[in-house]
Amino acid sequence: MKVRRPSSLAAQLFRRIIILVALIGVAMGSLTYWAARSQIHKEADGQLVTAANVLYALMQDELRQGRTRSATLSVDDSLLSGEDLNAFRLSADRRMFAVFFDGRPILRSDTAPIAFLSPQLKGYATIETPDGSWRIYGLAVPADHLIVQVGERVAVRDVLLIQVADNILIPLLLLILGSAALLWLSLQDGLLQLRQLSQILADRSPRDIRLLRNEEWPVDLSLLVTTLNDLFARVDAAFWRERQFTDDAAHQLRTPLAALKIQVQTLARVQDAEERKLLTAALLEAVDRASLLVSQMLTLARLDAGEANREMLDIAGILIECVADQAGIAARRDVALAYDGDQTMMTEADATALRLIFSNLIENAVKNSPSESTVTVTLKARDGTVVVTILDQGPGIPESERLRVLQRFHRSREGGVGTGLGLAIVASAIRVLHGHLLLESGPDGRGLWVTVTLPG
Amino acid sequence: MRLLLVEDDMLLGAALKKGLELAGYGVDWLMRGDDLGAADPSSKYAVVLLDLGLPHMSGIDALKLLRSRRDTIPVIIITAQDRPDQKVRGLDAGADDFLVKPLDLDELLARIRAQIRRRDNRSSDMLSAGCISLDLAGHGVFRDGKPISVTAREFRLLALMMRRAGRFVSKTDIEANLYDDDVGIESNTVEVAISALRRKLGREAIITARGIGYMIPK
Repeated sequence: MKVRRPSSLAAQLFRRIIILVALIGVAMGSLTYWAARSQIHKEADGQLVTAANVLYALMQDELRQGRTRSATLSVDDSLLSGEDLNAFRLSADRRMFAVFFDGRPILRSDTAPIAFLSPQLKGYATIETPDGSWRIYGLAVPADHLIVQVGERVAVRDVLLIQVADNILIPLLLLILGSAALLWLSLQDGLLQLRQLSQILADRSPRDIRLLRNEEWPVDLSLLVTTLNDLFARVDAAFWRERQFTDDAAHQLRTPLAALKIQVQTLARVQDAEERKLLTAALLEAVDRASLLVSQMLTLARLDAGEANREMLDIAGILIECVADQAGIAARRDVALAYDGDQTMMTEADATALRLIFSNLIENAVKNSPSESTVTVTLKARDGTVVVTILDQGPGIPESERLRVLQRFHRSREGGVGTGLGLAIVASAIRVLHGHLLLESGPDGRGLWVTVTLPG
Repeated sequence: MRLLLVEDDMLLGAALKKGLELAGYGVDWLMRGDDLGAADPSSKYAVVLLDLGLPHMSGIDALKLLRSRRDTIPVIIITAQDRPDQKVRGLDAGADDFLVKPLDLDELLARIRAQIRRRDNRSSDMLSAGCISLDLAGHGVFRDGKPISVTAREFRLLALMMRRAGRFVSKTDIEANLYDDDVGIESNTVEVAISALRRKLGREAIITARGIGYMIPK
């Protein structure tokens, strides 16, 4: 299934902000529109009142002459002077007036939709006619038995409103487009720093893991820069561990070869038979050590590649055998060996791996033991596991070095002739058996106490 | 001439010591870095041979300590580390030469001679005083151009005095140079060697000043 790549953060942010700006713009536009609309209506309604009053005032002269009392009063018997009518007619098609006397129309403009006008209409009203809507104001003058109605087409107001809307819409569009442009530019500007960061990283060589200076970057990138620096630090630590390993390996591999070469060159110069014999013995010792190194490296390579067998075997028998194998060396060093455990214990494991673990650990313990001390080996079954412990009374391993001694080609601070692979082999073999290795000080704080826990 | 060897590997250390002794040098062998840091090698040794991967104090740190005491003794680093940055680090720490294991004994001897030559401000390994000449590289002693046979101990004694020809060499200095781990110094060892050399090179070849020491005149 193809995973859809998320759209760019800038585009997402851009979209959201533009939608927000548009919403705010439309809301503000609408508010302005409604405010303008209500203002326009208020104004226009006010004008209608004024117009009605003006009309009534204009009719005063004629009224005083008592013409209203005439039932025959008609439009032609104008209550208005011709001048007044003309003034009215200029905008006549959009406006109308009608005057009722005791419910009878006595005066009206041509435009008045008389059929729809109620003679009783007082105050504001909006009436619908097939010809369009009208806004009417009726002024009642009870003293004169008059109702003066003045109106104007609602469409007139709509024209005004359309103008207002135009005046709002265009700035609104400009506002949205302007914000969009500005926003896009500032987003690009902000992203420029992200691009600069990636360019700086792209330009680096693989070995260049100098830390980035956090204060050189905007706070928003600080988390990224910190995480990058953290990664750099870990890569650097891994690199130095690797380097330490290769340095140690170089030392452990080259030193025996150097000894061999010097010994052979020295041997070639010596004439004395007795001295040649001594040198030859030393040479053989160096060859033995080089052979041990090679076979230990092969063992490690096999452990790395191999899977453990799971066969039913007598783990106690193998352990006792390994103790016995070291008895000769232990006796020569005046070290006593003690075994505390069953004589047989059946479990599923790999015999070769077990022998590697036990013989290396016991040999190590014997080698590090002072004379007249004891190496104690125990075997117990506990909670479905098999636990083997080996305790010596030697110098032990300082806590700070306990992890390092399990690494390949490890070299102790004390120096010495070891290949630095023995404990690494033990650790690998235990890993193959899915077991667990624990290095501690002895119960009295002295010596090394090794605990090997294997699945039962 | 004595060399100070600092190497923690038993087999390589023993082999180097033997090889250097066969070449006519007295060799003292230390196994820990801090031993060198505590030593005052200039007074006793011609050259220090230094391994870098040493217990207790790395060779580099021991070397820095030595140089911080303004000790200018030639130091040749012998190490398994062969990366250029490691060589730079070693030389910058004050080493005069850098050899990578496994090293060649002949090359090591030549480099030791080069350091001694530089220290003595000489242009060749041929030392001469009067009618006697001595080849440090070829281990030959000549009187008026004719080869003279000398023992290893006599050669070492003669080389020491020829290097300081025209100056008296104290009996203590000579004893310090002739001393070997396996062959101890007896009270008359120096006198025996001196009289053997006089027999081979002529009585006038070595001047004795009681209470000061011995000198080969220039």
